[in-house]
Amino acid sequence: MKTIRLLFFIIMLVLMPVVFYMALVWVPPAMGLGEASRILYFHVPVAWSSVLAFIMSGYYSIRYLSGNDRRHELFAYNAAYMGLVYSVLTVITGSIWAHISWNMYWNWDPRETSAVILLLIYVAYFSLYSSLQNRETRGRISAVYLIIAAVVMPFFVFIIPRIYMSLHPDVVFNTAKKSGLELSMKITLIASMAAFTMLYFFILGLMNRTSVLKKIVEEKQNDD
Amino acid sequence: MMTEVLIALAVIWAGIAFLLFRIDRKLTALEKRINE
Amino acid sequence: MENRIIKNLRKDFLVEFRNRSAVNISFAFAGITTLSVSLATGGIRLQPDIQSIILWIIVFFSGMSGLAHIFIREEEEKTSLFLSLHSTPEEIYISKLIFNIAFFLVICFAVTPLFVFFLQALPVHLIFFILTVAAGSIAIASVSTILGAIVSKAGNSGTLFTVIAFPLMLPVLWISIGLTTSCFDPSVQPDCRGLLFLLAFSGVIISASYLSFRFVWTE
Repeated sequence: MKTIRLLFFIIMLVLMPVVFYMALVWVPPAMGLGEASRILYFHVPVAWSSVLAFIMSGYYSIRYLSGNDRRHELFAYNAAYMGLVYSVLTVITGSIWAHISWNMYWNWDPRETSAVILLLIYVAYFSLYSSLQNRETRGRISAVYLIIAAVVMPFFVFIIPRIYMSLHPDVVFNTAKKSGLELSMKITLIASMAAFTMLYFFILGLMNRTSVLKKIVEEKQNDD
Repeated sequence: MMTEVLIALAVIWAGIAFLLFRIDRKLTALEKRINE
Repeated sequence: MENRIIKNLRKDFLVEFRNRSAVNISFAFAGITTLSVSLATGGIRLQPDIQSIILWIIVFFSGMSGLAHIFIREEEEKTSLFLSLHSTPEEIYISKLIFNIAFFLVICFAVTPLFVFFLQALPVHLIFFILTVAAGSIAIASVSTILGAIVSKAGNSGTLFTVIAFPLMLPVLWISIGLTTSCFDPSVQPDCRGLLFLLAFSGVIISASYLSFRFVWTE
């Protein structure tokens, strides 16, 4: 393994258990919510990872359209795939938290609804991708869709929750740091976000390398 | 009880990290073979 | 460039005018729905939120029956290749977009008085109401233009258009319905943030579509 990747891996390897310890033991329980608030340190990073994934898919789509390197189409697909998985996790952890806080799993709260809409946008991407089976233009058309999705995403993640008052505790997860979190909570949250972001990029790297190898194998088979 | 939970989580994470490491090793080996 | 855009627009308007099926279907739908709701409620004035939901359902579906039409007609009548020869993709996009917006606005401003009249839904904040209907229409039209183009290049499936358009239309409708509800409510001061959201949303989608339309259109 290359040195940088190894270093990255070791940091991630060590950081995640540290984050578990910090989130589950070290951090004092939040006022009002008690011990259940610890889910915050996992829900927020997962939500952030899904936003990151969608930004990455938009980035790879733009690079694909401007460069015509076929690999970037695959990378965009992988990034969107992970984005979808993380969105599902966000909705699930969010509804667990909702059940703990307000005794209802789902509320059609503006923020929850935005999360679901984001999920549906990416499900639509996969429908589009599979309905364009094997056409030459598949990469380009789905890349355009991903760019539009990535561009529209900030509206759902950042803007809608500010327009409508929401039950969601800290309306936008970015401002969670400002609404009265103690220092230890901030540190835990940042550490957790760092760990999950590293995990995201590591897995994305693995998926991308696999896709490249798969493509090489397919091309060899086509040549034979 | 919390110690048990933490140990369990740490073990699970070690397992996941080990699997990721193995995948990476296999991918690197394949890439080396293809580049020859 | 402007000349070609205007020529494309004129062509679209003429074709649509001669074969008035899309506009007719839209008006028929709007008329029938409004009249049915009015008949069913027996003239009782409904609550503001139900009134606004009905308005947007009518507007949305009247528009939908005509919008995807635009690109699909090009593909079906095989005129898309000719169009590509004649104008650059950006010009095509702008002319289609303007046509869609115009089409949708026409439907809206024909449907809305019908709706106000038959459902006795007098908007208290009139200017805000007009702005909301216009902003919502523009947003729906801009989403439909690019998605209609994508779907027409992807084989024209109607279900595909539904699947793709639904998650982008839902928030537009959601916010528009919320805004129009506050238009009918005398106690609530109209809140411009939703309006800005709709306009910003349209702007962002139009910019992104303008820049990437080329990749959808050219084979």
